[in-house]
Amino acid sequence: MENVYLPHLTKIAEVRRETVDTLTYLLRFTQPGVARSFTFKPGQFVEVSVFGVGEAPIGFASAPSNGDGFEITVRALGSVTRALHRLRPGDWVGIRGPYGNSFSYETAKGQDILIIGGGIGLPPLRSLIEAILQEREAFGAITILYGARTPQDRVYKGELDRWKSRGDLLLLETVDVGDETWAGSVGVVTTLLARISVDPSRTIAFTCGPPIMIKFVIQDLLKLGFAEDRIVSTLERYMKCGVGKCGHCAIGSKYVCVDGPVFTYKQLKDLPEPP
Amino acid sequence: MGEQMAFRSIQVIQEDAVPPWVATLMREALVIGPRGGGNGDFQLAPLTSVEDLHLDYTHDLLPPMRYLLPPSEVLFRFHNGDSLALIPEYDERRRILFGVRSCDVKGIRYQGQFFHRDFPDIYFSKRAANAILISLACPTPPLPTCFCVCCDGGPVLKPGEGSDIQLTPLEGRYLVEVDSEAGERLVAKTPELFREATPADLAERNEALAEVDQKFSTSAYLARGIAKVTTDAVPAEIWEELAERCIGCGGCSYLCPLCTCFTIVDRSRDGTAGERVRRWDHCQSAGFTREASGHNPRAQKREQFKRRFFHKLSYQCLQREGRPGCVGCGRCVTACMMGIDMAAVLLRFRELGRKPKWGPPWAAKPKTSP
Amino acid sequence: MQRILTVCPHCSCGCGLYVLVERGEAVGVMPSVGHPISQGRLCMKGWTSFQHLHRAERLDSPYIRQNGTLKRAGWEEALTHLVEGLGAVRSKDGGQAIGVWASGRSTDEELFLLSRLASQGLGTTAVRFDPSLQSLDHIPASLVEGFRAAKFDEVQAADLLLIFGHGFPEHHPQVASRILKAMDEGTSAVVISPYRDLLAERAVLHLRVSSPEEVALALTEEEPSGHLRALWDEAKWPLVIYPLKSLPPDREARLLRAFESLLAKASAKVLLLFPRANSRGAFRWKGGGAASEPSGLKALLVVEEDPAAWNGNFRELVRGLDFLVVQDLFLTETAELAHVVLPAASFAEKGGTLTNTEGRQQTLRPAILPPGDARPGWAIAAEMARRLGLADVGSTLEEIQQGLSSGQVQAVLPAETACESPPERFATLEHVPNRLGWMWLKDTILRHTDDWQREHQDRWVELHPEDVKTLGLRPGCMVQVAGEGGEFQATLRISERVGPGVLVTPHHLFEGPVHIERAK
Repeated sequence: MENVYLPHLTKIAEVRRETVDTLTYLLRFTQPGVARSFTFKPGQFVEVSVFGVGEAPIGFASAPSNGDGFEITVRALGSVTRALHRLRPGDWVGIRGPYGNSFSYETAKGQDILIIGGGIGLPPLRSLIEAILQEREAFGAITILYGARTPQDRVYKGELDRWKSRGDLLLLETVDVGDETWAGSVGVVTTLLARISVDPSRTIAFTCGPPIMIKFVIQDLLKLGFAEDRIVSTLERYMKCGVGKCGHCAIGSKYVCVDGPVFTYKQLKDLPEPP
Repeated sequence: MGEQMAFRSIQVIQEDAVPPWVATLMREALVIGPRGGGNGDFQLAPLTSVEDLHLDYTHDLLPPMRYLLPPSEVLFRFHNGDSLALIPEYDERRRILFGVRSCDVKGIRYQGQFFHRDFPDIYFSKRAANAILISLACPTPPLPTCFCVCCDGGPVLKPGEGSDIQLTPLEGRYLVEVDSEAGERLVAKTPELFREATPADLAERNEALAEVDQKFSTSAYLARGIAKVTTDAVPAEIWEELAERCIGCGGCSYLCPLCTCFTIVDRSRDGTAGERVRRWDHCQSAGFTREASGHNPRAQKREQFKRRFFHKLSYQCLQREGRPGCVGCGRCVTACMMGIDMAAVLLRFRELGRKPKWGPPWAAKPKTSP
Repeated sequence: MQRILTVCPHCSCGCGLYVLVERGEAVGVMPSVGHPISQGRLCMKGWTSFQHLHRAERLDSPYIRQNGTLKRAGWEEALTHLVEGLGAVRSKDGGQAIGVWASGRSTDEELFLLSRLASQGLGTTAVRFDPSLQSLDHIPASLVEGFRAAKFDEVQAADLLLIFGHGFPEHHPQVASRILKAMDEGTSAVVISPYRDLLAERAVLHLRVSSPEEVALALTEEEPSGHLRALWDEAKWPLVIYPLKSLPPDREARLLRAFESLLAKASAKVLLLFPRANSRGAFRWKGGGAASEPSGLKALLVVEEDPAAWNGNFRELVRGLDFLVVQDLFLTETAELAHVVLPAASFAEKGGTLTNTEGRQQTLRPAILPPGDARPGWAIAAEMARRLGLADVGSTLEEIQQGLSSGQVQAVLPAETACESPPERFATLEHVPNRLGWMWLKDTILRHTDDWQREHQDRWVELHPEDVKTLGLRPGCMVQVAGEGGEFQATLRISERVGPGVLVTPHHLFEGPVHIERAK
């Protein structure tokens, strides 16, 4: 029997700064067997250990087929993520997972994809975007809408430019508050919805971001005629064990770490407690 | 599913033969049996000699399940030297839990299902695999706070319900129902202490259990409570009325044989060495669901309180696991300072629509058998 | 799993609990069912009382300040340095310039030894036993000892409960439980407090006043005063309940004098609730003598309390000290200012006696070993006493306990210090602090108890909806509260449990009227 509470060991290979409080880490397993066999799907997460401080659940931010480790993007918010930010390349990081369910984008093949991200909600969506782009021909139209609070708060600035420069998808960005460097749109991300045309009957919408943003995005998608099971989002909860045992993330009869964190709006609606 | 299970054998042991039998068991494994504690408390605790055995016991306030899921345990130690070493700590000591009540056996088996589901829990599994349960059925409820009859939690176990050996006290002797291979081996160690049960023995047991419902002072109306909760028929004011009495001590959860929530913390002086520990936790606290951002989706006491009862009477246990989340052991009735334990709450649901008449649950009339 | 029966170290209820021990480590606690106080129940403080025991930050060796920083040292070095330091102050400024401050959970043996050490070893009467009880002299012995002083099980026997105060589930849960049970079973209760809490709502009469002492005094007078008078006269077995330290000492003194007069009713009893685990023990050891101001102190020994964390004037006091010795389980804010730090054993790592508020003397039993070189408080006090010249101090706990029963002590408590009042700036409200609440926010054990800390993350205050409107505030906004002794920021909650014109804080920071406005 495997010990699901015992982390695998990784070392930090690279650290990249995204914003003033957000860093992206490339982690590589130190055990070759684990490195070879580790797979995951976009939308899943790992429990990241800073030994001596604790664990935090962080979603995958890179596409699955890299084979050369994986990336996570971490905002310094609590004690573990703050401690993680003090680590340097070569330092140990424990990894348990992959846990949770995933964005079921395979069923969207042949259909259009609409991705709406807000602020720090972009990392799990990046994993999804990169996975989809690896099989671009399998999907119809791809539209990505991204909103950040300010231009400085945009994560993956390089990737956003690269995606924009591809000819085979539409990427629109906005910020809540602009500055002198920003030549793009200003306004909340839902304002971008008015500028695109989608066919709700053949589009799956994936959205991640601050709870308040998700609420309004879902409202607008419903108004556009999206069916409740064609809107896919993620649910945030305090998670501890990641394996459906400790009880912290339980809501109704579901465990966010096992039955989620990805839920359709149809499922979210039926939850007995508000997010 | 259709096959009626039967005990492997049904025997009898005289009362004065029990201590010698336990003495042989003590040579097999660590025997955790009923003994006295301070202040007249009873405990199911390691026996150091057969003289410690106190067969005339009620129950241990700490459920025996805690020998399989301790209040806190080290998951692994870590040491950061040239490379980082993680050393898990397992407990594979062989234990015989002797004198476990029927409700607690059911609880332990439900726990086993829970911990085995999805991602099996190796710590619980190892302890459970090395534990043998010798249970003690209850022809009379040991305590006025017991209400297992309302919850399908006892007072006696059927074959296949999880005991390795079930003892039922009769006049001067015990009925011994062997329900597993491990149990058979323990009885076979001292065959001279046992004899086959006769129809007269079985008749005495059946008579003792026939009227057992009448002997319970606490009524709990679990089925009605489940119905009310699952149909969300309990008004918000009632939840508020109950929840405002809760002081968040956690006693009901810590002592419940079916509660399993825990938290995980790291202990380390300077990060180079330390341990990761898991420790019991409970949902009747505000911090249970607070996120790193400070947002708490279950900040209100009323919502925390409601969660406990929905979890046990509906969501988790019924919907996910197919059985209620309460075996009627009555520990929460003892543990709750403010009178809002499972029995009191179910009684309150029953009184919905009437003015609340608070009183200790054991003052209610005994349940009449159908 | 072994179970060692001992006593909870927090409030003065004195619940019996078992420390659960596995392979030498305390893995949990559970209540004793047969114990007359706990009866199978504990509050959150009791249930979490093991969480601080194995924290990595436990002090495991003495420290001495060298070149401005605290460095690890051995006991011999630390004690020698301590004796030299105190001796130097004594020669220069006299013994009375040395203060000895014990803790609300110091055991009887520790209090006894510390007071002997102070008077005979150091020549000082500047001894403070339980900082939660600034003065003990105003508490009449008749209300604490003797048959008119009630025990917990008399709550159920009474036919009228006169409850002065609020917040019982926080500061004395076992009493709150018994009161609630009595009310459930039909006992009439009158609650006199500024806050309409759970008990007040169920009471037959709630007098929402901020001066309970006036109500008590009125009751002692001959003229009828309505409903309360009628209930009091009718009652056959009335019980008065009051948590000590809920009011400033002078007002509390008036209240307690009123209680004495109420005992003229032959069957009346009083249940005074001491705050901490051994406040009642401290009461037993109080003596006479002149009050001594803490200003004028040049050296101080602080045992297992953290005044730097909750007393705004303490750092000022420390600036005037030449020598500070702190004994504790963790490197507290006070310990960080010290010249010598001594590592102490916790309640689960030593023997001794604690007296609960009823006067019940109970035995602490060690369940685990203290970390590293940490030692029980009684052993530290005994060693210090010997080195200060007391040759006859016992070296085992038994010997010390024998000396205890025949010993006498002198202890005097300094009066509360006055503070500057802030300038007139904001709206003024009457401040009703939960004076007992400070203990639970700044208590050293609770500060190192994870589950407790996660419950008490928010600092909040409550205002009546009328006041919120008048002051132009919004529920949930941050407010600045200023009063004598300081200022703090808190989240504003709106509640009709508190009366208009009154600000209720869950913890006590300072006295008197407060000023409140929206935080910048």
